[in-house]
Amino acid sequence: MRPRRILGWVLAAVVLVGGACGGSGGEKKQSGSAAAPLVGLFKIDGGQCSAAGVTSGSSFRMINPGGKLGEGPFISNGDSPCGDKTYSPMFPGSDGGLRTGVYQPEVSSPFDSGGNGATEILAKGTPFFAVRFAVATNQKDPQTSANTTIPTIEVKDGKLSGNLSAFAASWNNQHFNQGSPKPDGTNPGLTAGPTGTYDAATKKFTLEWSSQIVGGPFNNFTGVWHFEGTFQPKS
Amino acid sequence: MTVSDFDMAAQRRLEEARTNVATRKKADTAAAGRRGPMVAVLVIGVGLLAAPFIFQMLFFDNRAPKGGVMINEFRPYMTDARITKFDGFMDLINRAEQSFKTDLRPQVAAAPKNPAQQAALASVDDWASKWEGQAGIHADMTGILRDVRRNLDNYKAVDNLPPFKLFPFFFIMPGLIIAGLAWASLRRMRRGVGAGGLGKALLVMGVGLIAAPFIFQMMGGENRAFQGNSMINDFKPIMTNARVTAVQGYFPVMGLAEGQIRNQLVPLAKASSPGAGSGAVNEWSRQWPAISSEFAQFLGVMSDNLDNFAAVKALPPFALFPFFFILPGLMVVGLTVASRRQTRSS
Repeated sequence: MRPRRILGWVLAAVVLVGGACGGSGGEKKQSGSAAAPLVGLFKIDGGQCSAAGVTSGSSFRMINPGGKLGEGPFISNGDSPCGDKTYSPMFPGSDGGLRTGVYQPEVSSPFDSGGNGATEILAKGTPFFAVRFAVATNQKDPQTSANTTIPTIEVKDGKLSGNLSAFAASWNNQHFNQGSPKPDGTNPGLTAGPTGTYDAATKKFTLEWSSQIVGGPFNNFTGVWHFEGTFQPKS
Repeated sequence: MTVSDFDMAAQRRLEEARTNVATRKKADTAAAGRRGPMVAVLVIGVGLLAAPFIFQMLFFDNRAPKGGVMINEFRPYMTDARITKFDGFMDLINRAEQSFKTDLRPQVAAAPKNPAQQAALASVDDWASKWEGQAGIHADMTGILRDVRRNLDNYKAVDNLPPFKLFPFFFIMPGLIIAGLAWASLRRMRRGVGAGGLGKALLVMGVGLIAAPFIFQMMGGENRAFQGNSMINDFKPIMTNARVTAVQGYFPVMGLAEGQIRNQLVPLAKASSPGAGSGAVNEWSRQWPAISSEFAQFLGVMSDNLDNFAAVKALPPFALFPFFFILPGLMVVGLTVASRRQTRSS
């Protein structure tokens, strides 16, 4: 009886191990249709204003504390050129847009004498309540001093996802992490995304994420970022 | 020796043993009476040692270090010069609002406007209505500044105390020493010896505890504990999530109005009257980036310290702290003296 029982256990173990191996083969199969990293430049189109707000291109909006994604209430920016001042159009900086696989850090003196954000690599400074804000992706987040993840965007079935924890805004001598997820990997409040669409044929993309400010004067306000344009793979 | 001789000897030994036991019992009872006050001193020492943990000064809520962080972060703003600067900003914005109503608005209202200009006027009117009145932005913010100014001396007094993060150790260290001395004294007493030098050391510790609040001017001098108590009480209505969120909400209203005046209304008024846009309105626009930066930083400190303030608020009232030293000190002195007297009398 005992040798038979041992044989039974051995067979069971073989079946289990075999099953596990089979499982990993399935994952490999799945990995064929898994999210593919998009490494390169997400070249952004400048925001185009209308009476209704930004109708095309890239823009920024900010939700008041207690608001909801997609519903607001959004704060109005007196320096927005749009009819609907809850939209602030954004324009490409010297790099042309957001790079994945590398950081686009803020410059060593991130503010000019007027408190305007001085970094214009990813995007040009955006006038916001009389002061321009700048954006950057930093290895060390200037607000929290936490280490971030290098920006990544993946595509699966035309849908974008990724990690933009390194994304930060600087305005009026203040830093605000605007990543999603946050550098510590969490998604507080309305922090969500990035999500979006990608057309492999035309390389056109839309990329959106929201990031709730944690700490500082605008604690619990949420930045909503909308980038659109054309992806240029890293050559 | 006969059997009866043995019986008598045994009887004698038994009686001697009984007498010894009774004497020892009596001596033990007397010694326990002498040790009583010293046991109480030991309990006070352990109590002092435990106090920072019971009050969560250390561990759990870590209230003492949080209080220290709050005091440090508020330091740049708790000066007369800084509050005077903020008062100046509020005065400038108030003058700009008055100037908008009396000078700019009539000109703009009379001029033909496009939808953007119409929307701008509505935004600025909205700000003006929210700015004025008993519950308006101006009254609320100047009220906060007034409360802060009233507490500048109180803050200074608290800031002159030893660092908050050291406070738990002002209980732990004397607690440890007193408990250790009392424990050693008890061991000596058990051997039938008085506390000796240990008793004197306990007296010194007791006197030190009594003196500490006066040395640190918690009582007497700057009366720092009582001034800290006043400050905490005055800041209770300000340092709440609801109040800070309300002040956060003022910024978009003020900022939008400033932007609309600068980008839409002043150019509109200037189209018909080149001299339009009064000094106060223009000065507000010129200074707004600095004003918003300064206020934003102050608001950031308030917002970031809500939890720290709540931790400090959860401590026993500051005004009681001197007595947390004085009362144990008095008890240690009194009990040690009592113990020494009992030892001498026995």
